[in-house]
Amino acid sequence: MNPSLFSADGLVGLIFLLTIAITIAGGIIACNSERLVRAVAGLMICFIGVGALYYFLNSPFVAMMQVLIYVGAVAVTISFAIMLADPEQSSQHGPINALSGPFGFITAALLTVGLALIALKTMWGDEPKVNDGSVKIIGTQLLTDYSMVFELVSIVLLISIIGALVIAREGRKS
Amino acid sequence: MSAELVLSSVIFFGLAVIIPVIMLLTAVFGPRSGGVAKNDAYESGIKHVVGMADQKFSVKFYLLAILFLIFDIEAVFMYPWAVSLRELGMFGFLEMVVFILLLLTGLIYILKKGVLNWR
Amino acid sequence: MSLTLLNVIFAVVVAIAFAALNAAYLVWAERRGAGRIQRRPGPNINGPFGLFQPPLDGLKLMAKQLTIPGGADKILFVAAPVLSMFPAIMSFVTIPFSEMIVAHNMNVGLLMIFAFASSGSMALLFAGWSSRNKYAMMSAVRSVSQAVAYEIPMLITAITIVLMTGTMDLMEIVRQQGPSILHWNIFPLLTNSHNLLMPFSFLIFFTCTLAETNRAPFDLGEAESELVAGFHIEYGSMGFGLFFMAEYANIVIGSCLTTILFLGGWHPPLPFLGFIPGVVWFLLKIYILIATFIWIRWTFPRTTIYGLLNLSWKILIPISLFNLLLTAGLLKVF
Repeated sequence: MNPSLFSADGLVGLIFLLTIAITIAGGIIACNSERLVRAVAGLMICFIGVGALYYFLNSPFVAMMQVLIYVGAVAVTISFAIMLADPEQSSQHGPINALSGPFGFITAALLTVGLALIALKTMWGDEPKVNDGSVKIIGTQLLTDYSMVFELVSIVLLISIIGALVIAREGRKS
Repeated sequence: MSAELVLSSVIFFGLAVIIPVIMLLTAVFGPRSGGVAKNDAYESGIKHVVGMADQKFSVKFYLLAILFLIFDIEAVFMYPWAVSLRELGMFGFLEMVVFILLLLTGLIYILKKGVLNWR
Repeated sequence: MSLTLLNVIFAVVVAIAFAALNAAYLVWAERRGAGRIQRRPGPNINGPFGLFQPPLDGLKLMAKQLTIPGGADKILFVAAPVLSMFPAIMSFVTIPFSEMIVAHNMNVGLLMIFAFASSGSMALLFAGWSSRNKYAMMSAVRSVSQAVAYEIPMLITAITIVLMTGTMDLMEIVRQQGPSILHWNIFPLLTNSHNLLMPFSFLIFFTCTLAETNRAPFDLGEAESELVAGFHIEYGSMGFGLFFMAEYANIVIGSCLTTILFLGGWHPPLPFLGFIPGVVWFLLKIYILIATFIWIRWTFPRTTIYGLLNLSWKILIPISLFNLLLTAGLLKVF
């Protein structure tokens, strides 16, 4: 029950804690840094941590997907979006409501308490593994049981292509 | 799986330690001097830097990034399909034909609108 | 368990050493090759054929100061070279050099290489952004938009290989390409799939590899005449050294991946040549590919950024999508 630090299980536990620490640290950097570049860097660290968590959850495919899409594409897109912004505005803060601090704190506190309650009340049993998480099973299920979802994904992607087009055309007029 | 996890993590964190050490070598061996002119941004030998570093970029770069994001997601969805195509039969193939044709329609629409025409 | 752990640590050290050695001597080969093509000697003073040039260059880089320009974001400025090197070495770990020589085989190996390669573009952005230099910034944006544009046809073309082999395990992909040249994925006449579209896939993939590694004629990110040096303009000493190593490591990875996917990995071209160890064949193939890279760089002039992006978005992506559909159709019909 109590694995020693230098056994394989202890090492896995240690690495797991390290991964969580990286994820949270990345999130904190993303929220609290003054410069937007550093915020993006923190976001990237956070994404990598989440990818590692997927790896721990026995799904290397989703982990690689996370790195490929979030680090390689979403972070790049966010960076390009920041570059579009006016450089002078990026350092200034917008008007901040006096109540926004307390309200933000209350919302965050309520959310934390709620999540903690749910986590504590749930009976965490040992769920049996649904499958081995291999890509083959993901592919088969995606195209048979969840084929409707799969096709809807393509429609969502099509809509986002058109949305991107609208944004770019708006930008050209101004 | 746990052995696999340990191995992967050792590779990951091992590299995260070793590569910065290479950077540190410079800090150990290299000289340390400073100065106003030395710390200026490079500008082809001109004394005062012309123009800002953080200028606005064309919105097209952003459009390209979004398009990349969309097609990246699309490509990643195709990998599980490709791995299990042999088991899926004709239905799986036709599903992917619809998937690809929808996205190809989007791409052709974008190309026809001339958004990717530069200048 | 502990033995495997030791093996992996050993493999990581070997991977870094291999990357560093390759970077050093590829620079030498590049400069000698450039000399050959432009009818001048190239580096030939230090040692026989100038072979001592790369280690001396390395020593010189180490003895320089890492100047951080004023106004630069210090943490990101130092982190960017490390970040560009990291994914390159990470990818080496999963590449099978022969049936025996692989540090850590994964069953999503192909996707892992793509994932880490794509995260390298963030390093370029950070380098350009933290330098506070307009040339570095422009170059970073150019390099990244080029890298992302060519990543898509690359990913889609690699799917045709996954279709044929039914796996993303790099070792398994190579194993299915034995024993002779006609079983290789570039021209699989003797396998069950009879897929005659593979040469097109190979061409698309090879073009994308050239563009992904920022090689001429696609080296718009470091167009010297327009952007002075590229996103690493403010970097000296080992910061520059790491970017340089990462660039050449990426070239090696690109050729390794092309070899694994299309050129049969460690398999000899004819079965009776099997007495030569597989790793020799593998290295031979990647160095032939790298020589082609160098040859192409010094033969073709640089394109424009518009032409570059148009080639990907208007030609390569639609073609690779059709190629994928046709390949899948062929597999389903036969």
